[in-house]
Amino acid sequence: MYRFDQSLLRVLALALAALLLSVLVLGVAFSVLPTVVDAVIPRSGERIAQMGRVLPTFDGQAQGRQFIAWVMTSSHVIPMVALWSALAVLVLLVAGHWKRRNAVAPAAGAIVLPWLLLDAQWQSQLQNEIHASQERFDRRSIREKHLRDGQGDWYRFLQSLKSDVLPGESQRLVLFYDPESDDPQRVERSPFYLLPHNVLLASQSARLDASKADYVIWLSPGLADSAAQAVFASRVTEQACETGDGCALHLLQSHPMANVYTVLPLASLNEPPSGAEGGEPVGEVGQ
Amino acid sequence: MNAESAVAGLLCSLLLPWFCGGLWAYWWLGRSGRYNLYSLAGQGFVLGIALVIGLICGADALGMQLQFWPLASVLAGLSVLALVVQRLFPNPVLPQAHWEPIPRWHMVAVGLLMAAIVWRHVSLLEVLMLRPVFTPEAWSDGVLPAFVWFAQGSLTPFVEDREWLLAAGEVYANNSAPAPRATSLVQLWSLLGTGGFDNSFIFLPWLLVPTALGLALFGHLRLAGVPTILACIASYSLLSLPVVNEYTVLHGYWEIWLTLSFSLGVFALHQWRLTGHWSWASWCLFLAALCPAFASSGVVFAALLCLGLCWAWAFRRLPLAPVALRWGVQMVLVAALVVPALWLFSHPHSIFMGSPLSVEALSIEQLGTALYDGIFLQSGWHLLWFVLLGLLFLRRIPRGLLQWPEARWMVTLAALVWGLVQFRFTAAGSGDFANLSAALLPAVPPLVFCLFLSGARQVSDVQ
Repeated sequence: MYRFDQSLLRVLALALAALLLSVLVLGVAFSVLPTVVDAVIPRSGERIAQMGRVLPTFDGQAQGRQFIAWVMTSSHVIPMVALWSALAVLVLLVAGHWKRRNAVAPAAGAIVLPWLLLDAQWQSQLQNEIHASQERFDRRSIREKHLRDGQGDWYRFLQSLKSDVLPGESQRLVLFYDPESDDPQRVERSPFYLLPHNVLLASQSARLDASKADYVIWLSPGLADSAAQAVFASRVTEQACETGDGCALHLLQSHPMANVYTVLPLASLNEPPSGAEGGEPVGEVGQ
Repeated sequence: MNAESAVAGLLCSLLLPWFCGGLWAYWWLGRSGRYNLYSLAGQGFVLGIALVIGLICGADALGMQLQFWPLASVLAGLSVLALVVQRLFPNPVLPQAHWEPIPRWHMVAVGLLMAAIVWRHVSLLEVLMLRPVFTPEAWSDGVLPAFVWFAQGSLTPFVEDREWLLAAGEVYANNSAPAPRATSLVQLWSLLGTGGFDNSFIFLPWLLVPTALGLALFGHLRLAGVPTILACIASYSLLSLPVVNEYTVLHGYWEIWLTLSFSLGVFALHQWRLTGHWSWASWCLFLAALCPAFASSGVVFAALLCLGLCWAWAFRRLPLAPVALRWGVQMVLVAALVVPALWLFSHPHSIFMGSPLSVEALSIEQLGTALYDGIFLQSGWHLLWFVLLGLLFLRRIPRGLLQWPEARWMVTLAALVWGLVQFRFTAAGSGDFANLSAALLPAVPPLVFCLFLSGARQVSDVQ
């Protein structure tokens, strides 16, 4: 049994006719009863408009789940198209029943054609995003792409840290961040940007034993004068060296984005710190 | 590594596992005498990826340096072995298929839909190749281990904070929630293949996932007797969904891999229900075992597939049993679903959720609002959920759903319910619908499969 073999012309003609009739019916209905939309979709337009203001329009900068949210909130034409399609299917099924003709294929057409329209709209949005991304990233090296990405300034800073401050071979780093104020995007990317170094992310409220780490990075200290730096460094030392075997920290670089310290276990304090020429111990805590 | 050898390695890393997996799938599933090229292509892709993951882990366990060409040689050897095994133990010869005459316009429509699918995936390829890695989870979860392992040439452990601080050896810090590493291993395989030539290349396997999914869906619908044009519309409707497209280009996300494993498991389950052949049952078990490799919540989907096998077994063994016995078996199987679910509800910090849990779950009203907004108003699903509602309204979905639902429906509906539960416990505070799409995604391809099987019964003889 195979009942899906009607001619294309007939299927298309019936589907299109039903869709056209459906448009007319809906047009009349919505012109006569404009409040029907609000009744059918309560507060939807308002909610979507709110989300549209909150979420950035995707231009290559939106991140992860925001990107999905952008897609998911980009339109509310779906229920209207569904209504249009459903009405057309209903017309075809009723007509098929009345005429005792099989209306499955035209009804399927009345679903597929609106689906194709929705898909064309999505493809058009996708093309727009591709054009935006092309302007931003096309024909650029991966380094240039990172620089032009949302966290380009942070990428540049960490690259300079890798080339100018840290040794070439892999080091163990503890990166302290403030979960309340530091950008999570910036924090989460840091271990990747700092490769081949081995990075542990730690909250600035955590006290841990960093004596087996090589360096400590403290995000966003925002300190200008040396007196403030000294007070601040003792706090960093308490956070990083209070527990365990104890250690001392030497300030290697002070920057508005992050301070970098080298870690010296207490046992090695008598020896000169490697890679920390000119640095002074800023504090030591041990058991 | 220069561009030529990077491209050669890339192509080899993409196609060789698929080829090898396809050959073994042909031998394995061919024993049942019920297969076609498309179903083998889809199922073979998953087996190929599983072989890659196993090879990398095996080589590392043996203390070997992880290098691409030695591993690729093993895969090539396995491909040759599959041909030898096929020669020694040939599959039963399929009877000559009787092809229904297909109207020419059907072929035209199929061609147009194929063109639309290809165009969409070319667009997605552009997106994948243009953007740098940009998803928050990807930075810590997937990408970092892959790059570390690539640089080290071995699977260096990622450990918790305390262990990292105490360790003197070469271990890396696991800066996110513990998660299975299969997606990182897939990225590592691409990195090894391209020699780290361009980071954008490492996500190309993500583009093959919907391709394999679409092929498998088409193939299994055709196996069930669904007309070519309807099977093609089914594949198109799945691959055109913006949500599926999104998870294809979200670098490093595991959702699309879990969706692939679970969906193909449901397809295999349906084939086993029809044939009763061990090859499809064992394949379904293999896919169930693969689900937890991609995500913590994969344990739940693996359990659903195993329960589906039990359900299908009972369906096969007890079709004429007394009603009371059938009801008894159903109750036992439903209890096997419900009791663990209730346990999970009472232990909301269970690892099975797969996402960071909110302290506060959504209320039923919030859940209803989110569902209404997320699946009926937003553009991520096109008309999928409306079609489901329409078929329910027109009673095209099996009327016996509450008497003895088929295993595919049972597992699909259970996966949908699980998705809602997961969303309820992980959505609070996220402020968007991303969690909803992630939670529902694994159930969507099986849902499309079930919908088209049920819908096609109206127009042709479908099993």
